[in-house]
Amino acid sequence: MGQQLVLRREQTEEGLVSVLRALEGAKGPGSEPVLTALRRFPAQDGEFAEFPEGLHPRLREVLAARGISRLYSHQRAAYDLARAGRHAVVVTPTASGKTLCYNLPVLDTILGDPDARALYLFPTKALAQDQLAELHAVVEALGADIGTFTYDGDTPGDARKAIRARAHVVVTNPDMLHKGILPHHTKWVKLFENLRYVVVDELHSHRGVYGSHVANVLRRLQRLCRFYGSDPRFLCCSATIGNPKELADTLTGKPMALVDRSGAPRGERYFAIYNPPVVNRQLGIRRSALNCARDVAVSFLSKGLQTIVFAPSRLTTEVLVTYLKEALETRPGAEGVVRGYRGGYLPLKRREIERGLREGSVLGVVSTNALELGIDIGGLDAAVLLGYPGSVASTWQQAGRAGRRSSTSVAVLVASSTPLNQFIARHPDYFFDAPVEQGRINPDNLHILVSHVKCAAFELPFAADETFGGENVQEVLAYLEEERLVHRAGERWHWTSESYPADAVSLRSVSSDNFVVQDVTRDPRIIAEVDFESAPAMLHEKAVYILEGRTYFVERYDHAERRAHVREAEVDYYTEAVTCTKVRILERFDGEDEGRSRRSRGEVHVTSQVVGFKKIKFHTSENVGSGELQMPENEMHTTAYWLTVPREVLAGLPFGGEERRDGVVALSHTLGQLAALFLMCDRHDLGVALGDNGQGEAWVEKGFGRRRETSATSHGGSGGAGPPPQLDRGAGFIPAPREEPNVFIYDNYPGGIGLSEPLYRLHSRLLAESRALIGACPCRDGCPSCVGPAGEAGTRGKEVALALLDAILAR
Amino acid sequence: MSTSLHDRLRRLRRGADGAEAETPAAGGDLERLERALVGSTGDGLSLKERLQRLAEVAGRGRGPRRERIPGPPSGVPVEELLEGRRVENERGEFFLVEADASLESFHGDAPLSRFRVTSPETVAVLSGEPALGGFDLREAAFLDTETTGLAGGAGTAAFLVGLGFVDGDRFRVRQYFMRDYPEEPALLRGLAEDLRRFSRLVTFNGRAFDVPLLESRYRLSRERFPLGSALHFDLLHPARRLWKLRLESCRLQSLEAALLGLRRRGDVPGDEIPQIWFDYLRRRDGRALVRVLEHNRLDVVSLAALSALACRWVEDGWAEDPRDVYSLARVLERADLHERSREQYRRVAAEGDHPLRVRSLLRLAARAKRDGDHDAAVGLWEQAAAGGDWWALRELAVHHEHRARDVEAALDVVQRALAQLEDRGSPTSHRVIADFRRRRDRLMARCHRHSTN
Repeated sequence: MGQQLVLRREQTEEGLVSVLRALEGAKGPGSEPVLTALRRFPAQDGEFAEFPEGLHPRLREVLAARGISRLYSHQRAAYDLARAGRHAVVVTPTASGKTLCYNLPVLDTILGDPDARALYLFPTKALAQDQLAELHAVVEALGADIGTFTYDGDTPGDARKAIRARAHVVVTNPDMLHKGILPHHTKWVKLFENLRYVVVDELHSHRGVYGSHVANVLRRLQRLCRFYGSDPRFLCCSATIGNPKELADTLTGKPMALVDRSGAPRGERYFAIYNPPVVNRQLGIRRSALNCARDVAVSFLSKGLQTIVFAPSRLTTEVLVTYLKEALETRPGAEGVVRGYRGGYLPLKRREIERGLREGSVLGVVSTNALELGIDIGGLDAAVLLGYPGSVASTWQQAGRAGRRSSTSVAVLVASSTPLNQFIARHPDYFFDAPVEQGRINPDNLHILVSHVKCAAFELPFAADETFGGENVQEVLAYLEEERLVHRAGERWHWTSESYPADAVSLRSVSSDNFVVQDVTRDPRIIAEVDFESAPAMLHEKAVYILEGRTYFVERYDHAERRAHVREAEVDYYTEAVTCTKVRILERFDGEDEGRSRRSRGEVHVTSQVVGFKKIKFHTSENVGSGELQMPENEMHTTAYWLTVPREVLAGLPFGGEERRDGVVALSHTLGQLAALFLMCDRHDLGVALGDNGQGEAWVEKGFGRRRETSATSHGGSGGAGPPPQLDRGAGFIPAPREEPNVFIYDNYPGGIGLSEPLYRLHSRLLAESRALIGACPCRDGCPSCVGPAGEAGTRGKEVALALLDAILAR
Repeated sequence: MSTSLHDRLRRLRRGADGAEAETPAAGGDLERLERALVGSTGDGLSLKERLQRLAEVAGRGRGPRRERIPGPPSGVPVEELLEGRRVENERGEFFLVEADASLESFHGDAPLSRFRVTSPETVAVLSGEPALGGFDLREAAFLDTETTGLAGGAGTAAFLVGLGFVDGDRFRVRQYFMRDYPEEPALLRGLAEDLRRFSRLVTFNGRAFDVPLLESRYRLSRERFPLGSALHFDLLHPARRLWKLRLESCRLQSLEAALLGLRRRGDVPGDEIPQIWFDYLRRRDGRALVRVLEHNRLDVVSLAALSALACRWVEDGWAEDPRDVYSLARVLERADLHERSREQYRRVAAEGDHPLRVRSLLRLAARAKRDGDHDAAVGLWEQAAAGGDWWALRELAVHHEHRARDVEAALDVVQRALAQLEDRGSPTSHRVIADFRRRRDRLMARCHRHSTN
């Protein structure tokens, strides 16, 4: 370990070109080229600006000592806006020196006024740590008494008091602000009285339900700032996103100035789309994307090119690490040149890998989207994307990890066999021209709003004429008074409950209750953490747990203690969990016949459970065994809208039972897509499931579930690691055709967040638009932009879905 | 979002037809469709109904719903039930209830006259804080709050503050009560004015709870916090140090029952108090509140009586039970009152086979060792070792090996220890045994070297 592996620039250039040449020339058995697209993006010169006149001389000196003698134009623009008292949002590519955009005005302000305070918000603790390290370095060099601290769930109790008193810059996350800081604002007087800047980094990650919550947390923050007499400026940074200004405006409730022209120089970049060749013409089977990605990565790595591979799940990450280690760590002394990186690795290990990447002792890293966010790993030579990451923005973000300021870099997207991937591989122009997704939030969602009005009332009584984020919330308060949560006295509404409302409001649906993985091979030691929701799928008994290429056999899964015992074992297979989702109707609030279908909405109980696992052989991906499991269920009460297809409508279709079922599956895919589009919510805010109306409940193999990195089966559609797992369909999973199917679209969020009501009202429009969308789609058998993966919807899914919609919509 | 809640509400109330009319006809224009949908959530239900439904869903699985608020208020105003008066100041008005008792009277079976004889230096001993020297309980304010919850944070308020103090030959309790939130600033102002003449404060868990809570309330009311510089004696930790070995619980009410012999009749459980005040806010019925004020008054007097008792306990060595005696010895030792501490340890050490006997011997030995009186220490360790205590044996072994440099004596002790420990085979002894074995091997090697030299 610790060898310097990074090459000289000419060698890099040469290596990349030779790999690209080879890829360009590669052909499948039918002599079709494997690359379906190769785009070149020319190098861009940097645009620079001088340091601002008024910049504190110490800051200028320290930056100069760190090799920064002038600024990029966007850094200067952000500084000027901030110092002019404007709110600003900066959108520039990965590694364009974004942090200086806010560190510069913040440090400059504090140097000039030691009372000034700033609050930094990062979506995750890891990012906060990363930023703090950088900030510390600058502050230390400044030699100024500027306290910079992280304040999050990991901050020890005895350190908190000192931080509250001494921190000039408090680095935290929205969850901690929501639960730990705002409700205790009287302990943070110095911060609130002197708050000059609020920095929101990774703005693009504040979308959907989470973003809507964060917007309300920021409303509460600003409300308290008014109480303490401060009026902070918001400085936001974002990766590429379709509507940065709009999102930042809505999130902060302030008019933002947009800085979106990057002055950072960029080397020449290539983006290639690689479609694994067809190996079986008859069945249309392509070579495994996983193996192709491995080969592409090896071709870069073996030339000494620093490469990052993005894998769609934790499992594929580990499988790829295993493969790459086998291929590259053959020489003695080469151990550790390939590393894995994903959520669940212990923080120290992650820091070590990040450092290794920056310093060049790590040549290759395989990561989940955990490295997509702005953790500083420097620019790499090549990025290999195993499968389409699911959005245009993520794709560019991941590809952007390869890219140096002055030399060439390459990103290769290896398409998996799912329709969405195949669609992109076949229509590269569609992808290259597609606009980047927009970040949508709705802070005024009634459920979210009410939650935060409660929290705000706890923090400070509401005045009788007070608004919240511009909303008149007096009616909400009157309702809360009936619920006895607040009490109006004089001109104020006071909190009158013993409870601490922020505890009952989680900004994310994820539980923070992690499982630990304990290796009991020798002296027991903790080797990893797994989040609560993923634990049953990753750590069930007899599972093979993979960590950085080592395989462990899970001996014991202890749900109560949140722990699993694993033992190192040499096995030639890995395991994939089979997850089932069940929706049970608890209460129907509304329901009515509409044309020839029925719409309903109500409260449902959603359970997902790991019910089995399969053993998959390394390299060949053969299914070499399986087992049944009885794992604890993950339960959720939520609200749902559902469509019932009447029995006679289904029976009248000129198709067989299997095909009818495929049609319903296909339709559910389209409904899910359109529902998310209409509601402008994140796709993962909605769950889609099939059930049977006669039973009131049914098992389905999967919905468009919450993003679950781990369980390959829960989103096998987007995974692309080898052939998608073949589950037993039919028996128990999908309602038999003689029954009456329900398509549930539920709020993927405990308690529901009010998405089902508008959907219920949208019912007929949803169906009509689905008909129009499917009908107008030029594809023959269905594609990701209409009825979804053909594997899920059968071969005639599209055709049946159309017929079904025609039958329903017929007047 | 541009549409206000009010607009959304109006649109909802217009009913489904109205909403339909506002949305553009279906024509695949998703952009327009989206726009029409922004902010419109609900389908003809009123905001109230929607909010209620939200509460139903959210509340399910969390126990039964609270009953609705009963009809018009029909209770008895608190002013009619309590001997108190309205107090006005610049911040408004609050309600003050006063009571007092002669220092010749008893609280439970504890005479309040104890206040007359406590020494001002004892508080520093009890707390282990030299800064609290010269802390005369007769000049202190005893403070206890009743709050709207235990969660802390800016949303928790103290609706009742009880303040007790010695005034001549009386013990007075003043209770500052707010009949509703708007009275809080006046309450805080009134309390601050009265607190001004005290520079010493006594609480039970006030460091962690009452004082930060009040500080937060003063901030929120933009009033100056009067306790910022007061010397603060928090009885909770000293009480635990004195009595936790004997008493199962060291909550104030357990202490007063066990130590003051006080039996409260019809006392209101502490966890019901916030709800009683909330109910009072809505119903204006003061009957249940009377018990809350009584509860608070008793808490304040108990706090004072327990403080006096704790002082006397230390001053006169009242402890009887060996557990209390040992605890007292620890407290005295912490305060560097070694002579008195030794006296108490010896009482326990003389207790035949009490479990704390060996611990006392060890503490005495440790003291002797620190004082350089090694012979005394050896004697004490020997006593403790006689009962098989491995720590004493280890100390002896260390002493003989390194101080007395008597290898054979050391080896002898080690052999004794091993014989006992290996015999016992308790699970914790593994590491200890290993330690003794290493020691034995080292000593034997030295013995060997000695003999060959």
